[in-house]
Amino acid sequence: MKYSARLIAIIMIVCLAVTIIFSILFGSVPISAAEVLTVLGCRLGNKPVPANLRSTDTILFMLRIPRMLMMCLAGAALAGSGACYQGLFRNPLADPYLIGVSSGAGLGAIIAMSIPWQYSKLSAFMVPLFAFVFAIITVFLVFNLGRMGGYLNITGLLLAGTAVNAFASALSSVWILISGLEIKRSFSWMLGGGGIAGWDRILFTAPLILIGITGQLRYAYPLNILQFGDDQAIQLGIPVNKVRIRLIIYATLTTSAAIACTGVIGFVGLIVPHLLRILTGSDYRSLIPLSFAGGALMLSLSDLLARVLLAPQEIPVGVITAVTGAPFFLWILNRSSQAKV
Amino acid sequence: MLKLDHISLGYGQNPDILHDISMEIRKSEMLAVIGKNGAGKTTLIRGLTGLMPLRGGRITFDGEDLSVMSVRERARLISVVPQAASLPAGYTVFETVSHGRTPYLNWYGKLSDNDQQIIERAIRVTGLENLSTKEVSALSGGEQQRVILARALAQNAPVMILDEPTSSLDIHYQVRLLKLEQEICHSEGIAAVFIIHDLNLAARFADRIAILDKGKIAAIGEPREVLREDLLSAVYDIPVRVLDDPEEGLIIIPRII
Repeated sequence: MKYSARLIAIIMIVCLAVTIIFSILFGSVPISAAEVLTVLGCRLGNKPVPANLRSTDTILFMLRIPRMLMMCLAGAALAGSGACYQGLFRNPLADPYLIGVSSGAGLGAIIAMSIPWQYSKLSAFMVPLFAFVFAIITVFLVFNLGRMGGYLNITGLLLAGTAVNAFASALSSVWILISGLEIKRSFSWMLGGGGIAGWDRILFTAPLILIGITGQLRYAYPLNILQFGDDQAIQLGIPVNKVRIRLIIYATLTTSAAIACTGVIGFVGLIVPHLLRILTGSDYRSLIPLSFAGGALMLSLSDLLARVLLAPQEIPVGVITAVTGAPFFLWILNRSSQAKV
Repeated sequence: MLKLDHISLGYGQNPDILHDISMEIRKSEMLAVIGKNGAGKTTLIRGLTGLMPLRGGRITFDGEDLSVMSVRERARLISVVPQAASLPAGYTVFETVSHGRTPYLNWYGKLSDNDQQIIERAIRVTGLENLSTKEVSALSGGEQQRVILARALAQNAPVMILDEPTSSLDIHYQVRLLKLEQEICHSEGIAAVFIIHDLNLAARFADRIAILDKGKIAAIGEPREVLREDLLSAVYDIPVRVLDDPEEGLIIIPRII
């Protein structure tokens, strides 16, 4: 049974609002709602924050709020891109992580981080740029390597994705070891650390993500027609190559911008669009925007769990998404193979 | 209307599959294209629909060269009913038929009242009213073929190309589909080009027949002019008998030797 896209959107937005409130209140240092309201009131009224709430103010505005915003943006970016890749490859398993795009972006970001840029603001810009260039190279590699006899099937896609993923991850590890980057922090980042979200990075990556998701929405209807195959899409008036190249660029831009800030986080782009497709249907005009909301919800919820489950110790958020995502991946794989029998 | 002027088509560096083909497709007519496997029928369709660039010659519609048109402009002139079209899960009959309006829609694919009326009419003409909310992937082969025909009809193009439209249908649906196509052609003024292997169906439903042989047109004309024993026997490389039944018209029977 399918549900209306509007109903699902309302439910997700309510859940997201609740998660955002919890993300602000909970963490290694508990903050009460009254304290949050007082600090917010001072900030909005342009008044000085009382001395006893200065540390609360710092925790809220330097750590929790930028991190929560980053997780919402990154989740929206990863899930929207996942929906796009699934439509482009006409394959429910095409997630930015499984097809290697995330690892490619991660390698680019690690290389950019290791370069001693003259200004820190330049670094905030170069990390997503490097991530984007490496991610684009990866997606074209996987697309071409995965084609068996000119046809991109599940096996070819996953084999090429696994190989490119392993290769990019190995290169990232080697680069971390030889470049002098701080090892613990770098590996935590590769697992989706999320701890380095600051206002600088948000200001540089948010516009990239917004451009990417606007582009994805622009081509949502042609993506519907592409599901019928290239020949039928051309015969129905869709300039297939132009649409495909633009969608790849927009999806890869959003993925790499998100990865550059949060580290390599997997499975959000797989789980969210897939569940939403089951709930609301395959129309990409609603699936893509719903995926933005669903991705923001999943990643902010995972981040909340990552911060509170073993507090004060923090689990990389990529570990939480992998723990929930891997069994889900196997379920989809099983479902796909049963559908073929 | 649609004119093929000395066109040649081929793949990569290989020799031409179709060489120096010229013919005209007229308004309201059903033109059947027949020929042996490998004669170039599917290549002809790919050339006509812009899936394959021409090596030589040109295709014009009312004097305008198709090769300078955008994909969208071309789709407003030529609609296609592909052979065994892949139909993804998750789309209803109405949604699939509405995709025929794509060449006229904005970036978001918003349907106007006029688009809605055209889609509903295409659904009605093809007898799919009771199925319009059903998922296409759950329908039978015959019903799916009618959905694709309705989609092509919603495209409102003056030329419709059908690539072996009856290949996956039983004789009941073969006759029903071609009869429907014939009615649509004659009532809407659409020109239909259809590839078909069943010579009896071609004889019954086509206004003209083109026989392709080794990449060239061996003959083109009304069924009685081209469906001759000598010609068919030579083209198909098997003895063929053509009987003229007063009630059924031409009956073509391959002779088993």
